[in-house]
This record gives sequence, structure tokens and C-alpha cells, in this order.
Amino acid sequence: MLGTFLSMNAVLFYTFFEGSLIPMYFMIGVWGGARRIYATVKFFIFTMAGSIFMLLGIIALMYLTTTLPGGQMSSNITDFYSLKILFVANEFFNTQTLIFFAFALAFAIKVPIFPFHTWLPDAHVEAPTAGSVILAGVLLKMGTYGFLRFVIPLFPEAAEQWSWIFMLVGAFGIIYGALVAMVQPDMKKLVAYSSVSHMGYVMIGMFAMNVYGVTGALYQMLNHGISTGALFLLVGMIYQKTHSREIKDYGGLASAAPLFTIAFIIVSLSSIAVPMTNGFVGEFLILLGTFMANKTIAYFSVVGVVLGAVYMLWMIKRVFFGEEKGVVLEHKKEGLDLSRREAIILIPLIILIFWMGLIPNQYFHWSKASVDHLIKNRTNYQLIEEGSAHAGSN
Amino acid sequence: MSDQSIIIILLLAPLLGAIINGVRFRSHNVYIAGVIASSAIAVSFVAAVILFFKLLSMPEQGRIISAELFNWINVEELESKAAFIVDPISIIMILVITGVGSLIHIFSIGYMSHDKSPAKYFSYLNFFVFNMLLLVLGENLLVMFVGWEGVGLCSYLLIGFWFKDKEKAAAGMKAFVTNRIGDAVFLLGIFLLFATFGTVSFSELAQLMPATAEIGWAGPITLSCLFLFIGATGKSAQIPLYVWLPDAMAGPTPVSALIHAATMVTAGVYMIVRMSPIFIMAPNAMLVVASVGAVTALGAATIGLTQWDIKKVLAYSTVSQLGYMFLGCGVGAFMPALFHLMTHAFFKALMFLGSGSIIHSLDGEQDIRKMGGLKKALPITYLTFVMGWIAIIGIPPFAGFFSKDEILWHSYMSPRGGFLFWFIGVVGAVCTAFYMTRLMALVFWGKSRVAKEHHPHESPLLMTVPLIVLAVLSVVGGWIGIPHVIGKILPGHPENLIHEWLMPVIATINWPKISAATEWSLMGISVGAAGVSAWLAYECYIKNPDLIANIVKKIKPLHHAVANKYFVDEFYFSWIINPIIDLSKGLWVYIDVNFIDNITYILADLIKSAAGALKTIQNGDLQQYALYIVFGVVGSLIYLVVM
Repeated sequence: MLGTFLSMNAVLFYTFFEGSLIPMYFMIGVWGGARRIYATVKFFIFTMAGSIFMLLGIIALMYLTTTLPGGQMSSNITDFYSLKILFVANEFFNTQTLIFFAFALAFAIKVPIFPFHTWLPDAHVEAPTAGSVILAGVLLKMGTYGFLRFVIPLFPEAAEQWSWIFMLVGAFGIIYGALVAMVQPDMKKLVAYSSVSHMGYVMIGMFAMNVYGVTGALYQMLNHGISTGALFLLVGMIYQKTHSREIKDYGGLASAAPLFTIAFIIVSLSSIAVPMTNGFVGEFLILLGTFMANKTIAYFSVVGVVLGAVYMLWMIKRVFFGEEKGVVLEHKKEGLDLSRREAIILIPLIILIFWMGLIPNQYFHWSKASVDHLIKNRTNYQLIEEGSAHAGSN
Repeated sequence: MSDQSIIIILLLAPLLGAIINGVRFRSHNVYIAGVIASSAIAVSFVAAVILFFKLLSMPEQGRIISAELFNWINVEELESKAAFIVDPISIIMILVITGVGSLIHIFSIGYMSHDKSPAKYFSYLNFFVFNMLLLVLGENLLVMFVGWEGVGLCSYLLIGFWFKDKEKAAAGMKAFVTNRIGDAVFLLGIFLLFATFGTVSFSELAQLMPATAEIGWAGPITLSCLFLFIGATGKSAQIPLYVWLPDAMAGPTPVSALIHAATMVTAGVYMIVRMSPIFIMAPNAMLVVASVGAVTALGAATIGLTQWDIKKVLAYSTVSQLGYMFLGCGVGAFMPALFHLMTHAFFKALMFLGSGSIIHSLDGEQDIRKMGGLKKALPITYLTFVMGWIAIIGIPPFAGFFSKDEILWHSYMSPRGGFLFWFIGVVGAVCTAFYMTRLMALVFWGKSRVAKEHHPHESPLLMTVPLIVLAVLSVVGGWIGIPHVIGKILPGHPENLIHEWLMPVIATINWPKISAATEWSLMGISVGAAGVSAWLAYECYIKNPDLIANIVKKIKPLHHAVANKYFVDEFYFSWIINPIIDLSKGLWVYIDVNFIDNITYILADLIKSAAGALKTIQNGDLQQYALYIVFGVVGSLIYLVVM
């Protein structure tokens, strides 16, 4: 996986991108839950199907590199960047748009965005806790990273032209994920669907294609890794003790496990983006960027701000509040609260939540150069286009 | 000590208190927790007083003390610093928050003496004060928003403080979610202002305002003001988002006093006053503010007439009084609105704490049908409650009179107000006088209906002293805003101090001149009407108990609708919440599980059957293979020939 994020060669990238499936496949398939085989095959086939398109795209790009001065075929991403790929506005069948969609499809499944998300809840639910955390924390980011590394810089015109599709689907995903999360009976599935909702934010932020949106999207990628990862950890911890993830089996956990409750509520607050946690900074910038780019999408997306609070708090209410009942009562004697080991795992995450919520500027400082590069490149294109349009009209 | 460090102390003392009590959340000792928390707020209060005198010593035009901690979010043009300002507007809020806050903290020590987790309670309470201070001190919209959401969070935690009771937990969640709806729209307001003016700082925004007011509805200023106001309807419990506040009474009573009467719910009013230079540029938005305020003031007051839970009566009363403040803001009377906010904080906190004292002595009983004749058993609570009662119905010279009356006659003469606003306000005041007198009659006067197992007794000093202080404030609190016409005939000609104080910092519209005679008569009408109404209520509930039953019988359908709060909750549930839940279940089962997955299965099946079909080709029969070769050769030949 590290290879995926580091490689600057498309073929190498592809190899790592696919290679990361293998350990995940075994992780879910071997240590997963009851429907693990189904889930792991679904997961594998879904993402594999997408990747094929990307492979096609990469081959097409490599073929195009022969037109560059030097004439050598190359799979180096920097060479890709120097390509000017033929683009015809308002038309689907042109080189740039086709390759753009080939890449976008692969990453869209990985992210995942609606309607390619159904592998995610299954994979999450069946995966062991560690698997879920890696899945949420890192694997999904390969998709969004792909968008930032390949899709937007390589196909600037196509990305510009078709950004509305991704913003629309992203915004739809936010609301859809949140609504479906709301009615999940299984805690882990709820968190999984919340992932779909959160990744919707990342998508609209990226395709807002302004500094606010992209910076926010990058930040939200980190946030999501932390808060959703922590939520999976927490759900895993309690599952280990009670052997149930059904929300209706719980009640009154707050009095049986006070420390666990505190940790859970803090992480939830980060997940629903309450100010002073990291989630707020990302979500705010994303929505601000979206608002600047497309007001209608922003109006829809803020609905997610409300729904996010609804599904998390509703779960908290049912699991933690009320009289103790169900599995909480059964396992109370064994001690349901955090053990020292569990606390040690969580504390760094909680510190990060506040740290990133209060002092985000440091991170923006790091990401600034790349984001600026991405946006400036685009603005240059726009300037050229406008310039040529201007020249043409004269 | 530098100004900056005083502001930091003011802000961080409650946070420190919250952290200390938060760490020792398992403690059962109410006194230690209470003393830590109360002294944290007391430190803040002292800091606030020092800041007040510093402001006082400054020249009138330059009364601003600011502090800047660090750059918070800095991306491209968006610069939001963790910066704070103390000016004549925020200092009033700060003094109310820390002053009334200290009293309520002290009261809580007595009230929560039997609770199992007092440290947690005080930790939340302190954290609330911290967030509230952030909200009022923030120099830009973003810092304000931090506090804005933060107080909502604390409110959630405190309403659901006794979370073992499912209903209380549900009330907490309702409060948070309703607030969140407002907050989300508030965010849109911030975005629009930033997209239009490129800044989120209050002072910069005020400077960037155009010279003339914006006409129409779709302009950026009007639209963002409307967005911000919708945010305010959530936080300040106005129509249509007021529904959480009555339920919020599930929290401990001092919480109701602090959060749901004196401070948090007034955040929306404060926000509008703070942004007055912007709102003033959007007359249509102000019209909406005034209308919503007026309708809420009247609507909530009528519901208040029919409630049986002592705290619910006070809750609807709060909603109604907040309506007055918004009415004031909407007609351009920002100063009277802020003034009413302050006096309301005194008398409503007083009455909530008073009701807390009653509930405490009746072991948790809140139904006013099971009270009555309590004035003997709880003399101090009774006397202080009387002060609050006279203050809220607006009898001079009590605090409520000055502030409410100022709002009323401003709404009459304002070019953005008019007779109708004034009239609705007066009718609301009549209702207020009626339900408050009804409350007094049912709780304190008449015969006792207290159940035998309860032994009502006066509360300990820890609880009565805050009551007494607030009662005094409810009497004298209004004297800093004596209207000019009254000031003229009083000995010493007292000035309208609060007016003078706020004048330099609040935007204003052009007020027409109004004759002293008109002002006197408006005043006379509203006070007279309230007085008559109070007398009527006394007649109905003490002298002639059958009368009210007869009236109720005659207007049964109307009474039914009002007593059930106009069925607003039911409407929300059956038309919004349940459909959304059904929709979500539908989406999950039909779209996710059935539709999308089925498509993938169908695709898989297609591939499978295609493979099945192709499989038959490879059947190992040599003759067939030979046939394929012939086909191949013939095909290639045809191709070559044709091409």
C-alpha cells in the first residue's frame, strides 16, 4: 500500500494498487465473519473490475507518450503530466474524456462513490476489526488519492467539464449514505455507511476544484481515516466482549462502561464534525469550496451535516443511554470498560482529533504546495483557453 | 496585567474547571466539584468586571479590547483567527453569562446534592460557559460558530444528563438535531458572506457594507441574513425550530435556568445585534425576523396558558420572550432587544431557579395541579418569585417593564414596524400576564393540593441566596434603561444609560420623532392591559375556580389545539421524520440490497451463461474442431479476396 502512494510510475502504481487487494482478500476471507467468503469475493471482483479500466487507461496513456519529443514509450507519471491530450468540449467520445472515465471508474469504485459502494458495507462487516480499520483508514484513500494524482491533473479539461457528475454523485452519496446509515441495525454497518457519506464529502471537495475544496478534501481524507478507523476500533472492542453488534441488543452502556462511552462520544463528535475536532475543519472547507464552485450542490450537501448528527446520536442514544439491558447486563460482570491496552490504542487518536481540530494550519502548510500546484495548473489552462477564445473572437 | 491576558483568563478559567472536574468524573462529592466549578466562573466574573471598568475608562468611540491567540484556519483568502473582542455589546453578555452563571453554579451545589455524578455535571456546566463565552467574544463568524455548536453540544449533554431515562436522552437528541438544522443553514450564511465579501470578520464585514440597503429577496446580503436568522431560530427556539426547548426541560432545573433561559437561547439575539450593520442593509430579512418574532411571541404565550408542568410554562414563556427580542431586532430596535435579553436573563433565571427550589422541596414533583398554597412553606422562594412575576408581566418600576415596553413602542413607531407588530406584542403581553398569574395562583396561592408524602420545606441557603440576588436584579435591573419621557419627570433626571452605552457600536435606522403623549399612551395601554389580564387570572383561579372550566368547555376545540401545542410535534413526526425513516429503509432494502447488488448478480450471471455457451465449443470432438478449421480458412480467404 505504501507503494501505491509513493510510486511515480503508472505501471508500478497499478501493481501496488492491485497488490493491496491480496492481503485484504485473505484478511477478510480467512479471519472474517460468517459471510466472509461472499464479502471478500464481492470486494475483490468489484475493485478488480474497476481496475481493468484503469489498466486500459494506463496503456492508452503509455501509447500516447510516444508522441512526446523523444518518442520513447514511458509509464512515468511526470511524462503523463506533460501530455496534452486531445479534448473536445461537450462530447463524450474523445481521447481525453474516455481515458478520464476509465481512470475515474476505477477510483470511484475504490472510494467508493454511489452507486459502486455496496461492496464496502459487506467487506467492513465481515472483516476483522484490524481489517476494517485498514480498509477505512488507508484502502479507501487509494481511490481519492488516485483522483488527485491522476484524474484531475492528467485530464484537466475533462475533469472540468464532467466535474458536475462527480459533485452530484458525491452530494447524493453524502445524503444517501447518511440515510441508509440511519436505519442500520448493525453498528459496524452503520459506521460503514457513514464512510460512504464521508467519502461523498471528499469527492465534492476535490471536484470543487478550488483551493478550499481540495485542501478540505485532503484534510477530510486524514480525518476520515482517524475518526472512522477509531469508530471501527471501538465497535470491535465492544464486540469482543459482548459478541454482538446489533444495536437493539444494547442499552445503558454508558453506566457500565463510562470511559468507553467518553471515547466513543468524542470520536463520534469528530465524525459529525463538531468544531474543535478535526472533522469540522475538513467539512467546513469542503463545503465552503463547494459553495464557491456550485451553490446548489452545497445546499444539498449541508443536509448531510444534519443527517450525520442524526445517525450517530441515534445510535449513541440507543446503545449508551437508557436502562442497562441485553448484552450489557449479561456481560457487565466481566467488565465492559476500556482495558489499559485499549485505552493506549485510543488516546493517540483522540489527541490527534483535537490537535488537528485546533491547529490545522500546520497541515495546510504541508499540503499547500501540492494543492496550489494542482489548482494553478488548472487556472493556467483556463487562462490559455480564455486567451485563445479571446483571440478567436477578434 | 495586560488586557489580552485578562481576556484569556476570562475564557480559560471555565475550561480549566471543566477539565479538572472532567478528570475526576467518578467523584461523588458535590461540594468539591461545586466549589471548583463555581470558583472557575467566579474568576471569570471578576475578569469580566475588570474588563467592564477598563471599557468604562476608555473614550466613547474606541471602547474595544481585543485579543488574538493564534491563526486557526488559514487557507488562501480565508483567514479565521482565534481572535476575541470585548466591546460594549459583548461585555453585557459576558457580565450576564458569568454573573448569572456564578449564581446558578452556586444554586446547583444545593440542587444536585443528592446526585450520583456531580463532578460530571459541573464539568459540563463549566464547559458550557466556556463555549458561551467563545460565542460572544468571537471576533469572526467562525469563532462564533465554534461556540454556537459548542453550546448546542453542552445542551445535549446536560438535557440528557440523567440518561438512564430514555425520554430525557431523547429530549437531548431532539435538541441537538433541531439545533443542527439551524447550524447547517447558519453555515450557508457564513459561506455566502465569505463568497460575497471575502472575509468572516465582523468588523471587516461592517466596513464592506454598501451605502444603500439591499432591495428584494435574492441579494447576497438579504439571503445570508436569512440564513443566519434560520440558524438563530434553531438556537433561540423560534418558529419553526422551537420544538426542542419545551422538551429540553427534561434536564436538571439549574440547567434550564442557565442554558434555556438566560444564556444559550439568547445567542441568536446576540448574533443579530452583533451583526446589526449587516442586517440593517437587508430590510426584507429584518421584516422576516420581526414577523417570526411577533408570531412566536404570541403563539408561545398562548400555549403557555394551557400547560400544567411548571417548567413547561416557563419554557413557553421563554420562547415567547425571545420572540419579543427578535421582534425588537426586526424593527431595528437592537438596543432594546439586548436590554430585554439582559433583564429577561435576570427574571427568567430567577423563576427557573425558583421552580427548581419548589421541585426540590417536593421531591421532583412538577405538576402545578399538585401544588398550591406553597407560599407558607417556601417563603423566600415565594417572595423572590413574586419579584420575577411582576417583572415579567411588565409592571413599573420592575425590570421587565422598561425593556419590554421599549421594544413595544419601538415596534410601533419604527419605519420597519407598525401598528400590527405593536398590537401582536400587546396581546402577547396580555397572555403573558395571564399565564404567569395563573402559575402564581396554582403554585403559591389558594389551597394546598400537595400529595401527603411530600413535605414542602424551604431550600438551604446555597439555593436561596442566588434567588435573592436575582430578585434584587429583577427589580433594579431595568433602571439602567429608563426611557427619556420618564427620566424627565424623575428626580435627578436619570439618563437612559444602556442607550448611551450601546449607542456608538450598534447600527441604527432613522427613527421618526414621536410625541411624548403617544409614548405615554402606548405605555399606559400595554401596562394597563397586562394589569387587567393579571387581575382576571387571579379572579379565575382563586376567586372563581369554576369560571375557567366553563370557559374551557365553551371553546373546547380551540383549547384542545392550544393545549396540544397546535400539534406541531405531531406534524413534524408524521410528515417529516417518519417519512424520512421510511425512505431510508426503502433506500437500503430496495436500492442497495436489491437493485444495485442484483445488477451485479445479473452481470455475473450473464458472464456465466456466456461462458456456458462458449464452453460447448470446446467439447473435445476432433471432427468439430476440423470443421472450425475449415470455417477459419474459408473466412480468411474471403476476407483476403474482398479486401
